[in-house]
Amino acid sequence: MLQKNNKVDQKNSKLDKVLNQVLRYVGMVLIVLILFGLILLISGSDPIKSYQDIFSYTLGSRYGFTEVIVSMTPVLLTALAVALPTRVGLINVGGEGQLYMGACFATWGALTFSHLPGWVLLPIMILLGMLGGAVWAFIPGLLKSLGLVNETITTLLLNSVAPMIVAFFVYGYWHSPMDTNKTAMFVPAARLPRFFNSRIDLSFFIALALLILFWLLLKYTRWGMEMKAILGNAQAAKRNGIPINRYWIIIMCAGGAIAGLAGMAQVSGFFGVLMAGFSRGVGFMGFLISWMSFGDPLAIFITSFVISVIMTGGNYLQLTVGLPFAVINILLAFTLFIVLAKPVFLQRKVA
Amino acid sequence: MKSKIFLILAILITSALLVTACQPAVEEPVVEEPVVEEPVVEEPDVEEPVEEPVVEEPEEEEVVVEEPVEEDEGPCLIIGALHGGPITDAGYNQAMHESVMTIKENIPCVEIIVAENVPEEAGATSTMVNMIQQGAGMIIATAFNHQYPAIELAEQNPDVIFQHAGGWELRDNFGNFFTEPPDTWYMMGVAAGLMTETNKLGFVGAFPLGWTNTFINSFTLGAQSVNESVETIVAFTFDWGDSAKEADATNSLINQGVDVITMHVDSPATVISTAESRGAYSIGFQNLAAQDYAPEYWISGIGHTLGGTLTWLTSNVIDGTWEPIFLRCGIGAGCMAMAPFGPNVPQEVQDQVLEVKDAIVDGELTVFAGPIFDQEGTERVAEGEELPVAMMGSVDWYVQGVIGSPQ
Repeated sequence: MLQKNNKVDQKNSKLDKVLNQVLRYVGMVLIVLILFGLILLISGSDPIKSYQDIFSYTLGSRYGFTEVIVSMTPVLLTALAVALPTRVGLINVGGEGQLYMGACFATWGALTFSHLPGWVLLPIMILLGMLGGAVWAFIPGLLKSLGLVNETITTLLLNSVAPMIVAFFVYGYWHSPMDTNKTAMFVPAARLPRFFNSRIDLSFFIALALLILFWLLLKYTRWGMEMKAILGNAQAAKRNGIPINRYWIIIMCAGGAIAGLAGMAQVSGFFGVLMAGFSRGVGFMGFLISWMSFGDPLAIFITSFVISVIMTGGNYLQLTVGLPFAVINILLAFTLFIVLAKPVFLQRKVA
Repeated sequence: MKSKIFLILAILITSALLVTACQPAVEEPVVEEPVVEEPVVEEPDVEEPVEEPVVEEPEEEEVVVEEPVEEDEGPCLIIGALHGGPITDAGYNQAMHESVMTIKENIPCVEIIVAENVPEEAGATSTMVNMIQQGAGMIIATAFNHQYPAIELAEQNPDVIFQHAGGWELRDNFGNFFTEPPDTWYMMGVAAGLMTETNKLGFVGAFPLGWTNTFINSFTLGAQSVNESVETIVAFTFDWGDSAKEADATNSLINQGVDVITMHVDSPATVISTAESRGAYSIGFQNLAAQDYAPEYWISGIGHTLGGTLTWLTSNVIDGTWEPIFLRCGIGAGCMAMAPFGPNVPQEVQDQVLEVKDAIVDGELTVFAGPIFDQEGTERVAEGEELPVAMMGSVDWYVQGVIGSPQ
């Protein structure tokens, strides 16, 4: 019943909704640009020139555009790792920790089976990476379904444990003879293949495929329906015979596996080496993106694209107008703040 | 309707942005040759880089005067400098940044592009590519973990010269440079050994790296040379820049009775100001500016001052005589400098430390001369021998008198 009503509503207001959505985003981006323009003026650089630099680099040059895609790939995955659990009412703040565990497991695979050819080794590493993330997400999922601890807290706390586990293995066992804080470079077979003569690697396409899969799952499968029911009212869903505990654990693990895959992609595709503390908050960024886009697959794609444009273009500003790095963080912070604050006058009217 | 107006506005502005984005054709790099074919007669002796008295001022005017080759106004060389941390950290990154900026003072026609907080490993690649696309003919990468991405790019960009701080690899267009701190640590050890009353020195390290262990050993040997009963307690933070852990480590060292603290982390600021607030003496490393954080309990410090060396390397790049070398230079060549003494350091101590400094500069003093025994009593350097420099980067033992685990 409830679902049917929703569907009708959705159809009626679909165009309006999309329009509103687009409008809201553009409005937000504008506010951000104006505020940041002021900061640029205060710090003595020319805002117009700065914006020109950002956009001509990220959208107007081939290299810049591919770099945007490269920096977008991991956050796309970690955002998905958050978005999936939100569909059953779980808040997975643990993307960062799951990413580290995925990277850790995948690195073990890369170092142990380094003699295998790529077509065997890479699938092994992908599976290991997903396993690592899933294991790390299983703990909160289990505790939640046993009714012991809220998953928000456990995932958040496990975030600070995972990097230490990675550090323990790197410093203790895996480090190369010349360094202490990173492993030896991976063999070529353990690197994800790259495309378009750029640093875009296979994980981007995997991320896209997962995003589409996520959308299909929600839209067309029984599981998607049942997840919706759990989200709407877990108790009611339980009385209707939906195994909510099983859902919680499995969905949590699936989310963790996706974040673990992001970790695997980072070490195998991007870095080619495991460094202690390699992730500069990719997991947390995914969390923000997922919440900014309300778990909607298309919005996740767009938001991570916008965030990546800001990050990549912002870093570029350092070189062209000599902005200090901290100012770029202000830009990013503005974006997050404005989007999360949801300015009142941009809010669509809810019937 | 309000939303319609917004929509129109939005579309207008997005299109405006797109137009501005597409207009300037800056995408393609203006591949600027570093003017390599300049047969300038001035010939610095490249074969003996270590002892090079690097402050060669005369080159500068020469370069400026006869540079107008093809372009009239453009810079004679664009240098891209990238640092792993903030360039205002009063530590390693600031020291490196200041060294790089000295090039500009000595050779005014260069243009320097600076990037700070550049991520490690593959994260640094795009920054360097962007610098090259903006015409950089020379890249100076000062973070240890920028070595491999820099090499990768060096192979793809044979026209660009890469200089890396602290690495060991060499390619046709990839050289490295660094200072030689171990001897200066001995000198600081002497100062610490004379100043301590509890006979306990504290060392806050980032990682138990080979070099850090060498510094600790040198520091301890220096202290023991003037004060036999001294011992050094080591604490690691496992991070180059985690101030919370650095403050914790400093406090716990002081709680164990340590009264002189020194460190090998990126920024000495936290350790020094924590020691100052607890009334413990401090000895700085990385940057001479560190003394600002300890107006009262400052003993002395050593910092990297590579400006002269980098100027020399840059002038070589400009006049085409640059060669990839493994360059290390010490306090004698001006690549490191000692900070002034603090107000509480007695004159006798100052004199004694300066004596040691002179001995080091003159090469009369060998820090790691045998016999040297490690914590377990195993002989690491035999009588009459000395620890080779090549071994210092992989030292995994501590001399007697160090408390802590070197692994």
